[in-house]
Amino acid sequence: MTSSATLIDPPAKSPGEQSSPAAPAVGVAPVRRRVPIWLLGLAGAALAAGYALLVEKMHFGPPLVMFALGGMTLAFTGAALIRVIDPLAGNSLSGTSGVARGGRRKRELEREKQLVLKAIKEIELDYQMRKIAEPDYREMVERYRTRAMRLIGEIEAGDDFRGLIERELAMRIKLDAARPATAGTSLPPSTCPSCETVNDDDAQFCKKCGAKLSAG
Amino acid sequence: MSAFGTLTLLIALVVATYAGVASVIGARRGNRRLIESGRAGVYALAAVLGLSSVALLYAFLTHDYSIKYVHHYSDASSPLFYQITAYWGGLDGSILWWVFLLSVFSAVAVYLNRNRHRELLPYVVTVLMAIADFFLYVIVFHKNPFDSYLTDIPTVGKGLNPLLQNAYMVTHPPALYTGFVGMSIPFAFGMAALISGQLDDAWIASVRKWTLGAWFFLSMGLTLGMLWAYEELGWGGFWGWDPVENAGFLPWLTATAFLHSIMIQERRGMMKIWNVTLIILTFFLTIFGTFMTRSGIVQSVHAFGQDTKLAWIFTIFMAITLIVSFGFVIKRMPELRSRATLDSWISREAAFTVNNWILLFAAFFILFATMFPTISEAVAHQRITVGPPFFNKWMVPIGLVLLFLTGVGPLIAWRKATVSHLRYQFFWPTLAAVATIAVCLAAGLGEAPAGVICFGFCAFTATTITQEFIRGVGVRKRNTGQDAVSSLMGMVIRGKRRYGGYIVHVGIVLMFIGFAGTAYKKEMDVKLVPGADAKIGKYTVHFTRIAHEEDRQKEMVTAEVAAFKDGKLIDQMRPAKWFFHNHESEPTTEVAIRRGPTEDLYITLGNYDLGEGNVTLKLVVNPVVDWIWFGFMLLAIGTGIALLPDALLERLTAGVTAPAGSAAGTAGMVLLLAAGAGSAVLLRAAPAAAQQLQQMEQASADAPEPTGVEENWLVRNIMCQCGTCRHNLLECESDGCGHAVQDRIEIRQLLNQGRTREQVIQYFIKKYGSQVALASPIDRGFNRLAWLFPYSLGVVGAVGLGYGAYRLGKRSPAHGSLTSEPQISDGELSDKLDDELRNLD
Repeated sequence: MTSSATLIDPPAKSPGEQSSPAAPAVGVAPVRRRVPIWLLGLAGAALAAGYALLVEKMHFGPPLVMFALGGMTLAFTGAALIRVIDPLAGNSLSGTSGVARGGRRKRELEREKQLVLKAIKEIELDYQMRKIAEPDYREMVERYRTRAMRLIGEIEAGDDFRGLIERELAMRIKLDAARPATAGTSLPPSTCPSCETVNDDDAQFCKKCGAKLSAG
Repeated sequence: MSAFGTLTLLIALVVATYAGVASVIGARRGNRRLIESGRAGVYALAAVLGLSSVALLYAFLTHDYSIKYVHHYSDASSPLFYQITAYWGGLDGSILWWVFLLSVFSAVAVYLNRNRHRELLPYVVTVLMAIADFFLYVIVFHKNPFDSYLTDIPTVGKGLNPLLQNAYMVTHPPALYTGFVGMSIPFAFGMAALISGQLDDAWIASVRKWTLGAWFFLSMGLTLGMLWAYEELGWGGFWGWDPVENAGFLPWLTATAFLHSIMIQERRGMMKIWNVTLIILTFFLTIFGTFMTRSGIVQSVHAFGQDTKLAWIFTIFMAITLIVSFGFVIKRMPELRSRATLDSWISREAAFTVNNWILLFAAFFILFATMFPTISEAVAHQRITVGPPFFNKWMVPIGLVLLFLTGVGPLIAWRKATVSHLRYQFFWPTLAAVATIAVCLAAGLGEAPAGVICFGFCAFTATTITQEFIRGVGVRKRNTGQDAVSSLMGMVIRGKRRYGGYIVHVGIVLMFIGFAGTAYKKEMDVKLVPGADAKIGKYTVHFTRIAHEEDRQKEMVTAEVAAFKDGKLIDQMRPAKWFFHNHESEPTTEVAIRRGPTEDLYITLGNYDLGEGNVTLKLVVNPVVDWIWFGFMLLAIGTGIALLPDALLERLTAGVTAPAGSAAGTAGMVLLLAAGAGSAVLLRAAPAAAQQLQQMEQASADAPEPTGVEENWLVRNIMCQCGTCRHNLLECESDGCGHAVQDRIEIRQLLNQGRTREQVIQYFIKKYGSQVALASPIDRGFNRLAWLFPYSLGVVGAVGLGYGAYRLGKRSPAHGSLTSEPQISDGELSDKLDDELRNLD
């Protein structure tokens, strides 16, 4: 089903639940009752078939079936065209509730996390099958672990963006404080030698003073 | 019905235009209402076009001959099934079918992604609607299937060509079409990413399954096309480099390249520009393929005939597509530049890059060779032919390199492979390849070196994949303590993309074995009187009698043949020619095939003489050809595994409910499958065998069986000029083609007079007034371009590849995109991650 007669999305569901347009809305009160699209199509088909049988006196056969299908597509067309006009007429938009958006975002994060976890697993397998050298393996796994942990953190924080940002900030500050001790005095190659502005990784000239950056 | 149908098309045009414009304005202004309305417009378009389709089908079912299209492609006596499939039997209807499929796919794609990619989606809608607008424009203003007769409404329909009424015609073209149209969705997402500047990997994740599904349907269409050619056309082969076969093959090549190179982007964040370029090219080639068949610009057995206006409309659309798409690529170039580096030439990235280069080379070469006769005619005013020998000369080595890379890819690690690892990985595959080559040479297969090399590479690749499975199971057994079978299951389910891909590769290997088999094909034409025998390979063919029968639909001329293998009767075979009523000038060739895993015995009926009871039979022994079809089955299984929804798998394995989003792509695939399986496009018009029934009965003089190197070369490299078949003199003969017989007799006479190969060629150039009879153009004058182009393309590609790799390799590894993220050292999170990883096992 690709279309629906009204514009209200059901409220957010738990991540595992498959959303379907015909599912009854629970929790948040719907603004309008939604007519399931299949019901609409069925009604259209029945009307057309009734018309063909009673008024046109058609016999049962392929043309009658096609006529009924025509009634169904006509009903779909009507419903879809109403959906086109509806938002313009100022009726409420779908997916506006904050809960729904939050749920969706969480689902996205969850999905991304699964991808990263799988990537880690795959690299481990490659390493165990002796395809990757150990240093490369360590570096790649570390990279993906970092990403996975960040995602787990974000999922746990939920909508608490503030907490998340603070946490991230604290982590970076801690890290920056630790870095000079371990990394020594050398600056990253993208730092301008004359004005110490930090530039993009692939920059060739400083964005502040225009000095040529060391080739990296 | 005509007025109603046209009205729905006009509404569709308005709706599509509105949806596209509303979406783009909504996105630019940030107006959610417009975006929402535009999105609903996509659903509306699918519904309206559904209504148009129903109207056309209704017209077919009620035999409304006032509509020209219905009159041309249907008649009241044809079975219901063919009355329905006549919808896409002609040009006008097939374009309506194209745009209807597009609208349905668009609606599904938009519905599935409605909650994701909020910035991307309006542009996706705009791009899809622009494509739909183009096709709607064509049908509304140029090729309206609802056009009607104003006066003199006919009472009897012309009926669909009976040649098109068979099972392969029902399945092969719709599969190709589904593949063609399916490619529009990834293109739209790619373009939306470019337009909106959302250039991360999100669009790739959304379209990977679509692309794989569309790619699968292209593969299916191509394989069914081969099967159709093999079983229905009766020339003994399955692929003749016909422009329309090529048209389906081109996007397959670029889509294959895309499916591989997106892995690099997902893993390494590299090759963003390249991926966008590939998807643009793939889409362009699908349109180009449609254009080639629809406009009659190239001579082909499939073409619908010359239509200059349509050719111009398509040319303009293709030009706009290219300019706009690449315009955006250039605009976004700075943001698309990769920040990752190519660490080593011996890495999977590098192998994929080479694979991409080869695939692209193949695509450009085929495109060029297909178009060259048209170019030559326009530029040098000279008609020439670019036939199978020219294609094979280039495509055989290209295919071998690809096959080799298929084997090498999985063995090499990402980023950087080390020598000791390589030795460990390559030992068994190399051993298998060497052993296979030795066995082949010992078995006397050395006459075709390419075949032997191909078998060797097949062994290499098959061993690679087997080794991957065995070692993977070993590792998993150690890790989980499960038995081998559960480990295998778990491994395939956890890594379904990887192992599904491997199974696809096994399918490809089997197909290559089948292709290599053609190098050892034996064929001969024999004229037999009743009771006579002919020998080919291990087989003896005994011709019993010729039968002439008739039923309600057709007249049938059948040769009854007994086939013996090593002296034992194995089969009664009945090659035939059928002459459908009202279509007597186009007899269908009914091939008799005795299938076997090692070889097929393949017999077609050529000329015959009902009075004396003589027949000319074409006997072919095709080794291992059936492996191609088995290979395709494996390819289908592999694709199915790669496309299995995560949600389903997880429910099956752990009882864990999965995120709803992951099921979305699968629903799309189910729809694609349904669209492909439940429909049939009869776009491929079968080649018309030009001989009339009467002419056939006057059994012409027999063509001499070629003997000697020179004669063999000549009959294979001079094309039959009967105007319909596109085969060489050897292959054409048994279609009952008097033309080829005459030419073969002339070749024999000229050679007997002591002429050289060159002199015979000159004779034929003089005879036909141009080089048109030669299978590949002579390397002289303008034609030199035909030979120069592939070489220069290869060189330019290699230089470009080298330069790109040098640029990527030059950057310091410290600039890796992900390494710039600070390391997180949070013990609590780390523990959680370990837990989650354990749960994955």
